[in-house]
Amino acid sequence: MPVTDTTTDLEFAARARGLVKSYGTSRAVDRIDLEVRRGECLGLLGPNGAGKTTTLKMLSTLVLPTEGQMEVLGLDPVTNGPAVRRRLGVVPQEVALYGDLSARENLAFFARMYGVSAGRVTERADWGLEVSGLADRAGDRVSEFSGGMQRRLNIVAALLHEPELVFLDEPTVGIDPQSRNHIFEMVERLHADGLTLVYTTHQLGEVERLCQRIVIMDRGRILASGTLEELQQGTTPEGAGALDLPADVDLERVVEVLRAAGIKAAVRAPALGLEEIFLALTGRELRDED
Amino acid sequence: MLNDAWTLARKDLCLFFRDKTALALALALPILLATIFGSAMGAMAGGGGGGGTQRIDLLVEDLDGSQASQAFVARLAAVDALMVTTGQNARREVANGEYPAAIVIPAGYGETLAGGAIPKLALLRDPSRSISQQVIAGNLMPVLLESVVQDVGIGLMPNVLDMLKFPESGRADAEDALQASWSKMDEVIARLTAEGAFQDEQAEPATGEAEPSSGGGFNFLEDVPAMLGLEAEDVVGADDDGMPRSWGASHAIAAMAVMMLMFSLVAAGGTLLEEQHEGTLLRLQLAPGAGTSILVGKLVSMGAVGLLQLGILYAYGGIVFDVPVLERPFELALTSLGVVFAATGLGMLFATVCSSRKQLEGLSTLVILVMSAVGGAWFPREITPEWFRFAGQFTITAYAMDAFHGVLWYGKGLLPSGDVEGIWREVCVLYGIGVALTWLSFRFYAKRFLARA
Repeated sequence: MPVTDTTTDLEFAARARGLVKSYGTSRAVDRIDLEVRRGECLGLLGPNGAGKTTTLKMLSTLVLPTEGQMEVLGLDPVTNGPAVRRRLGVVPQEVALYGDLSARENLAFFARMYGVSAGRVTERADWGLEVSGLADRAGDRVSEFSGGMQRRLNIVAALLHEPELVFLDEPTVGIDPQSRNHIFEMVERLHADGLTLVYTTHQLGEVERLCQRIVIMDRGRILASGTLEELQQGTTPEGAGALDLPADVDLERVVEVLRAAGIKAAVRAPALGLEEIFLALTGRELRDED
Repeated sequence: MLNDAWTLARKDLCLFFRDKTALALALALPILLATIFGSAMGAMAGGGGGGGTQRIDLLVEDLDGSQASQAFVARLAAVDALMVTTGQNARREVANGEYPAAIVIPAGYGETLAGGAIPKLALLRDPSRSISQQVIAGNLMPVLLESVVQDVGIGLMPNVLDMLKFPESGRADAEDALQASWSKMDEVIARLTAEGAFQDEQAEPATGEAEPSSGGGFNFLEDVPAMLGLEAEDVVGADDDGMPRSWGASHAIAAMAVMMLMFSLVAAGGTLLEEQHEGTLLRLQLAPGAGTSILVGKLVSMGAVGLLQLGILYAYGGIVFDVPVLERPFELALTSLGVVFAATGLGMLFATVCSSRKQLEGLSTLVILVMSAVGGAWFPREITPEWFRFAGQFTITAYAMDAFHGVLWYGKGLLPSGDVEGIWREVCVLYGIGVALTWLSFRFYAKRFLARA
């Protein structure tokens, strides 16, 4: 069922209201509200088992919600699966390519499967090879590629049909720094071209670099959302300002002096980084379930 | 080093025992195959096997209808190893593969016997069913001997005494002596029959094809029937130009076509599980046209591979073994398409039912080998136990083998023509199996791969 708002399609690439997914008695996603604005890169963070993948599966038509409303690119994914998938790109967490086919054959195959017209298949495959930096290895079998090369190809394979909204599910797992940087540049270029991106990862630095807004999920619920600054404010005490002081200064003594002068003052920790915010919200215990 | 080896072995055993379904299939396979082979071989050897001695079908067409001919039929019917059926159109029945052989008792049989002569009987044979021929020949001998003794020998006694101008005074004693002598002969035949001596005679050439009697050597299958007044005739096995066909080659081509095709297409169906494991299936399911088109694509590619395999096999059989693959191209193509369709459906069904490649391999090996055995790809069905033949009716292999034999050996068309029946029933069953298995595989695919719950 679509979210009832006529302006949704213009402002939001995807929206969900009260979304629930239950498996038996357990809830993988527990009544979440989510908004993905058009043109933004949204970071979706959460420990293993937080419900990120299930949420993306529901939005990408693979899984039906138990309750709630969804809208993707102005369409209801439950009833308009093919139409949603035509305009949606999903980069799966695992490399999903045919190892025995060459890079070009893989791209041409997925271009056809994703509805690229026969006349444009070669053009789009060339584009994919260029963007992934694999043009000089176009004829080589994918099984001969390094992990980083496969990851790059894995991303462009989801972009051949020129989707408006792209879900990237941990696209940099297990690759070298150069390939990771290449992928960051690809994502930044896609974002600059106006694509809407939802980026899930455990690498908080990636989110800080790439995403304008961040959603933190745990145990099927959204714990916090906003820009990094908003999240920092949400997890630190409010105040009028800060003083830069040498490291060896006795802060308690400074506070006493200020208070004696009639100025309200208190000692607080420096602004938290995303990792501290993440751990503060989701806790420090290990999460081994996926 | 031994420590490492033991650690590795323990790991492998742990993995082997972990997949309970695959484990059960792996353990059940040798037991099931041993049971099947034991039953079939036991029946062929004439005992045990859980099904007892297999009776061989023999059709008798009695054109005489006299007391003597009926007595002969009764003697045949009393033979344990034979399942005698009386009927008509013996030539047609054998030519269509319904019976391995038929005996035609000609009109005038009774009169000829009454005249003291040995009447001629026609033995119509399908040379492809050589084991049945040997059993029939071996069991016919005592019956024919007994017939000669009872009906001809005793009937001839007065004539013999006349020829010898035997004095009337001693005639009664002479007749008694001759009667006793013939009766003694009956006992000898009965004893030899009970000892299986006549079967032992034909034990040597127990397998292989029946070849025409050629100069010098004694050919049991040819010469014994001739000695006993049987005029043997092979009613199938020649092509349109009258050239003899090779049953062995035709059978091998058909059997390999069916069995290997099933193995190969089940393996091809397994790529669905591989795609699921490697994640490419998920990516395909995210394509706009995803859904059953993925399965349809698999079916088409598997069908194409199957047809290519058959095409190469036919070309090889035609060139190297003179298998008449071009004699009925339409029927052969139709049969091939039906077999490929059914085998593809089986492969897809297994791929959608099994949850791992190991399970698929275990299940497919089990089912395909059992189907090949009971379906007639390994040994002729007519010499196997009754339960074997019954089980064969539920296999792709049996209908595929019958259709291929119909085309390549009996030269049948799709529809009946004159005395020759068509293969339309077998072809229809194959396509029906294909439809049913494909439908089931789509159901399981939708349930296991497309369910969005």
